[in-house]
Amino acid sequence: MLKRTLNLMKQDSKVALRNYFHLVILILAVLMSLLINFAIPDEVKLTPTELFFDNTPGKAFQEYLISEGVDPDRFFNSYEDLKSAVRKDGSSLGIAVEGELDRARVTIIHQGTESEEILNLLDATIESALDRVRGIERESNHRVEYLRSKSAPVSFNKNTIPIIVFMEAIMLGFLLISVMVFQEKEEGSIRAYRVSPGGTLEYILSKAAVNMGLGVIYATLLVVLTMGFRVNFPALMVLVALSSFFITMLGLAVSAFFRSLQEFLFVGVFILSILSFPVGSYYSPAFSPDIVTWLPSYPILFGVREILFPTGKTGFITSLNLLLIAESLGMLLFSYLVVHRRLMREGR
Amino acid sequence: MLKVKELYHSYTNDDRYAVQNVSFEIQRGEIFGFLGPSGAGKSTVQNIMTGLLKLQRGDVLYEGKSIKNISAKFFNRIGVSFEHPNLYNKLTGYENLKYYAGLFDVPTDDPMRLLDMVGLRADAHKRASAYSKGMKQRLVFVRALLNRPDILFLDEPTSGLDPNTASRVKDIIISKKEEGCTVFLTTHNMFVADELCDRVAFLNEGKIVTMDSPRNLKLKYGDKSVKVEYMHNNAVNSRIFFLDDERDRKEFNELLDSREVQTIHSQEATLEQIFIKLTGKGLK
Ligand SMILES: Nc1ncnc2c1ncn2[C@@H]1O[C@H](COP(=O)(O)OP(=O)(O)OP(=O)(O)O)[C@@H](O)[C@H]1O
Ligand SMILES: [Mg+2]
Repeated sequence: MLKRTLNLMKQDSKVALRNYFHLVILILAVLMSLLINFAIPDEVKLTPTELFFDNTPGKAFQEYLISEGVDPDRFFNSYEDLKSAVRKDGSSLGIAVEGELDRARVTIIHQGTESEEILNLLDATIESALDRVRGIERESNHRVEYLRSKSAPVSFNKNTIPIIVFMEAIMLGFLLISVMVFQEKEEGSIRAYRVSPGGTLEYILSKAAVNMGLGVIYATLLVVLTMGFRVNFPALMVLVALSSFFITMLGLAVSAFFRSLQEFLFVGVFILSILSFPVGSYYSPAFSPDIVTWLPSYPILFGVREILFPTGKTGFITSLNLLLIAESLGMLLFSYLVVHRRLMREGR
Repeated sequence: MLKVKELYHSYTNDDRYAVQNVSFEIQRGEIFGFLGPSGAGKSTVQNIMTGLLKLQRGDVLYEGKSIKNISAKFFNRIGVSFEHPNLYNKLTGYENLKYYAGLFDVPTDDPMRLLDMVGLRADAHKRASAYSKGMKQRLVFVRALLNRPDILFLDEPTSGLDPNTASRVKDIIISKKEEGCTVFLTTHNMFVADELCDRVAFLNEGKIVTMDSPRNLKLKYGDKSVKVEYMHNNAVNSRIFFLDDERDRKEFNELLDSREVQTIHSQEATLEQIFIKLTGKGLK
């Protein structure tokens, strides 16, 4: 059993190498690290740029904002100038303040794409800024409390690393295993396997092992290239290996229902998209409906982030790994049954 | 050794059978041929016997044990060669054999020696995708020999091979038989069947038409046939007449009367002619 599985692994890795899977992974890892290091900015302003026209006597509002560090280029001398500037820049908002400071009339010129919430927020911000210009200090009665000790903010580009590890090192296994299976189906080599003493379990484990290896190499490479060596690599490797095993089993079970890659692709991409929903929650944590948090990919993504940018939730990774072991065993059983009943029983 | 009992198989799971009521027995060390035209159901029977196709009705027994209750270990004892070459195209010929050998729990033959036997030594380290159809066919054939099987299933082992290589393959099959190997051979080539098989079954439209040794078949059905060459529409035609057959005899006489006959030879019938006689159609 062990000898045969090792023999199969040797064979599967050879085929993977000859399919240039390793090159794909190497090139992807280098490209992604270049993107992260050089192309994606450290910080991204997700709210629109405000442009101003201050028509109050003495332009006190403008002076105040400039003193607060707002770029003087963002001020215009007439309402018309402001309007045309907003029209030119699709990610901007115009704010015109007119009349006496005490009873200032504020006009907001917007693109029509901003949400109600953003506009309300803006309204409140302008009002409080005006108050300060008027010299009224409001008693602030809010304070900030942190659940854990405040961690250093993660820069925007580095923050994408967990997503890339998740999408490419882990989810890639879903597609790679299907490529492997359909290639064998097409060649018919699986029929030759079926008249040998080799069993279904060895067949599955060998392919899973090769995929786990590729996933771990990819993740390690990408993280080394983007974050250096100050990362808990053993923890990363364990999590990537377990997740990759789980996703590979899922991919294998799903592929077994289809005759060719073309037929599989539609459903495969659909499942991948569903599994990628947690990326939405990653960027806006408020987007976490139960359906998304229940996805097995949800804790995986946040687990990768926790390992790369620890916030001290130590128990989380351990329980995640245990959960993944349980899920993987379940998925292994499922894909064993599917492969045994379908892939290993086909007429032709 | 091997017994097939009342086998039926329908790919559509209804009463349109690809194989119907097929029964036969193969003795140890025997080469048993399945001869029939394309679509007769030869591969279907072989695939049921090797477990690739589900057993729907009937039974296949190995030394009295049904294939339904056979364990994975059984596959250590059989060798299967497929009609469509199924190889890892990304691996070389040698790697394909090396990998396959690693699947068995029993001692296996040296891949290089096997490649040499079918003239593939020089191409051992080429990828299978670069092999010609005949080379793939030979590779699949020797792959079936790797585990020194007791029972060999060969689906069209010589189709697509040049006469030289075909005769090498035939020699290997005979030497396997001499080692005590039992061979189930599928073909639509009557010469192969005639040369190699101890017994043949004629399969037509999923049913066994007759079954005996080639010699007995010829004695039984092949007597008193004549081959006549005659002119017709300014071209030379030839036709075989079985003189025991009333219609044939009548037509033969008519042809003689027409005086278009050029040559007449009495001859031993080939298996193909017997097949035509029994089924009304050729083997191709
Ligand atoms: N996978 C399949 N699905 C449906 N019908 C099939 C399938 N395989 C074979 N058949 C049908 O079953 C019949 C027997 O086919 P089979 O392949 O056994 O013939 P064969 O004697 O091996 O022919 P050949 O000499 O061409 O290899 C044919 O009518 C064929 O169309
Ligand atoms: Mg066939």
